[in-house]
Amino acid sequence: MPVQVPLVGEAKETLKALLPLLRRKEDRRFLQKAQEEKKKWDQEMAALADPDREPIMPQYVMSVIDRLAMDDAILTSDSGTIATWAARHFTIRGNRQFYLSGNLATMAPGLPYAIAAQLAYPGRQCIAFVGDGGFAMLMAEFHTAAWHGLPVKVIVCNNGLLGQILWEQMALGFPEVGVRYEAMDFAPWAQASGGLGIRVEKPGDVEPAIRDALAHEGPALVDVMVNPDEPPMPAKVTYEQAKGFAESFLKGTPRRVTIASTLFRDKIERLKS
Amino acid sequence: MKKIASELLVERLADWGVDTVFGLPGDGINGIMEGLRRHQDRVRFFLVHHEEAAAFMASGYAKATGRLGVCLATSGPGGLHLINALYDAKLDHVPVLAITGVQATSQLGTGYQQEVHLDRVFMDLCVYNQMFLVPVSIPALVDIAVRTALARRGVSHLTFPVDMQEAPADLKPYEGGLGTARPVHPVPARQGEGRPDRARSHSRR
Repeated sequence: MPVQVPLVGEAKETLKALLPLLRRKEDRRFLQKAQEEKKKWDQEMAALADPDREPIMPQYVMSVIDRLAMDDAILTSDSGTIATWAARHFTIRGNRQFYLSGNLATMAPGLPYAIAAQLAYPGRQCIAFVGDGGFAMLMAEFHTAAWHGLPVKVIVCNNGLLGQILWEQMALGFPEVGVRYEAMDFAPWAQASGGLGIRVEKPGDVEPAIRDALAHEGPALVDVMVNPDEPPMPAKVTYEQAKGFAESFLKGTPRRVTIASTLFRDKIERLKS
Repeated sequence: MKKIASELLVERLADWGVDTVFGLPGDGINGIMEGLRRHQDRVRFFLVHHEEAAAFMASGYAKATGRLGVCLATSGPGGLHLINALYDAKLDHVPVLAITGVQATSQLGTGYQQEVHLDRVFMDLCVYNQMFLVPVSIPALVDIAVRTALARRGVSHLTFPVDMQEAPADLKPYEGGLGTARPVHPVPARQGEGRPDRARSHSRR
């Protein structure tokens, strides 16, 4: 987009100066179309937060947090597929805030961000929604939260996988390589640190566990075993991406049968919505 | 108890409204830790397990509150551990002050234990970056570091040689520093080039 009128200034004050100059458009078609598309998108996303599907869908985990968290909760997240689930399924209502590493897109800030936010706002729910990859990098800081008496909540979507990179490899037409860990059990670490630690493997246990964690007085961690074959599908799939997927399947991506079945089920869920 | 130079740093941070420093001690910042201990009623030291987390906390604190986030790490490995999270603050445009230690001035250049010139290492990530040489400069340079981080929404870095941290505090004749006035954020002029009222009516949507 070419610059038409360059305005150099602090964003908040500059926008304030611009507001009185705006005129209401009589033609509402563009806005209405965007609102309709957004409504359709929300319905599709809600259909993906399926409480019954097994293995557990990360979208469902995020939707439960969204439903149960306070209107002034602060959510922090990491980079990778976890950012996709957080951005799509966390609703900013009331005074909620949401933080992640926007431009550096580094792994691991989710937990330290939540600790810092809890220190700054002692009375608010501070929830780190992280994957096992990012959490494992700085998981020692859960102990930091515990001994400092900070009641942060950590929800781990544990798939033993560097998910974003797996899907990138496949979209490029490369069979997966070097992206799978042996999934760790984080609940004992939370308990050893002096917090509450809950391991969840069945979809029916997600909601009670998150409810218990949010109600717990001290720090709490819920380690949810989620489907390692859940794709963070972009809003629109390009021809090149689809071609890459097909090629990596043909070249023998491991687990291609379970990945394909997840893809088809996601598509069916979204069509059903 | 004779006042040490590190106290000037802690007092100045408190004057700027800093109440929390995230960090992890080490033998390159014993003087600064002592300064924090002597003024723990004004500035709280928040101990972590890994310096990268301390810098993420400083960045996250700045993101969540809009205030300056401050982290502290020892010379060499401690400072190097900060880097990734300091880039997070730089790229997301939040104000952070990183404080580190460096080997004693008498040993610089000899390749002594933990000799890493963090001011050179951090050159790409800072909006302000300075090593201290004498205690008298502390108030003024802290003022510049904090004001620059707030004004340019980026990372300022101050590094203290070990001998200077523990040196007697000597302020004369620079007691006042440069003051703790907040930076002013610009708003576009209402006349001439870049006038906000010229921006309207371009959108056809």
